[in-house]
Amino acid sequence: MWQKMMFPVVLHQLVPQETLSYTLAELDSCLQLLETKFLRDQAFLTGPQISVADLMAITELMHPVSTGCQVFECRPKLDAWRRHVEAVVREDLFQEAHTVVLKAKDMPPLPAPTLKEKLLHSVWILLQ
Amino acid sequence: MGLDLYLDLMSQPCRAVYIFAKKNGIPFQLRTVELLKGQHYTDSFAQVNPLRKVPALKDEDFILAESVAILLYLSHKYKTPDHWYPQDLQARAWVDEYLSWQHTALRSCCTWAMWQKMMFPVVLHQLVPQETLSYTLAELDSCLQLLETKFLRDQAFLTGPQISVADLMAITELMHVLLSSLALPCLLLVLTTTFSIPNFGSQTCHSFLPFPLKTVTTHLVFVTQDPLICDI
Repeated sequence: MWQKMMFPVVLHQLVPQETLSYTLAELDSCLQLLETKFLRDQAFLTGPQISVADLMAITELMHPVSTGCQVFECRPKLDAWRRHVEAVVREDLFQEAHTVVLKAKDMPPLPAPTLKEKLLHSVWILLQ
Repeated sequence: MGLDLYLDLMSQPCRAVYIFAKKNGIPFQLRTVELLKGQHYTDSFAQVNPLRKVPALKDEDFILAESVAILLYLSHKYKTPDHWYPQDLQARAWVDEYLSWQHTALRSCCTWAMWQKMMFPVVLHQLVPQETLSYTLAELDSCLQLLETKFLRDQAFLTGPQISVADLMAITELMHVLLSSLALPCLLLVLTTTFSIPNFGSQTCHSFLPFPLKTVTTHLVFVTQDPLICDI
């Protein structure tokens, strides 16, 4: 999320394409593990019922989704899991919790240069 | 079949699991997985842990990965003394808090520091830009500051008056930093005044270190009563 959106859009900091490509490849590997190691043929990540693990995972995945990453589109199994989670927590609650992050791409650039510098310094590691 | 622990004692969380199991007399078969030989990439190990990481646990047909999960599983199954993972709601929550924080904080910092200070330049002959190393060491320093001010405070141990799995996770991370010869004064202060872990330093859990453990022990306070039995 930081490399695809926060750095270029909010902080006006270019991210090298190579860095972003590597990050997205790592994300893809993680999603693969999520499906093959945790989800497998289950309805939820750790069994037939939802657990705190599913909440942690779904909220993480909504981060790259908010930047336009195609997290679920090419992964029907993961997409089915997402719909299971949303059904259990209820769609209105799910949308309410993700209202802010889904609008992140419309955030204006940071106005104060000092704030931008301070933030850049603290998140610089996310560019590596 | 029994309990198998797949470990590489080069790895910080593996050492935490190892110490915990040995200290609590948990019978297990050590299955060494040498990371620097790529043994975690083998198909046979993938059968044990598809995440291809250590530590991993195989208890008859039950397989488990992730050091925190393994420590907690062992503490529950073998009913280890309460202080390792307290029953008390808030005491347990403090341990959970540390275990959650450390993944992307102390663990991350110590790993990066060791790799950038030693593994890349010495083992892989890969130069690390000074700016990158400086940033990493500054982050490590911040983490150590948090370790002291947020967790340790005036307590004997990180989450209370008695040792818990949080302390094992932390001390094994900090040993990684010592391995790469980062002589940070605040680090030594933390170690000399705080980690009086019974049985910790007396044997060879850290035998992979390239210098005698005695070198470390001159800076560390140990309470050695019944020595940790080590079979490597």
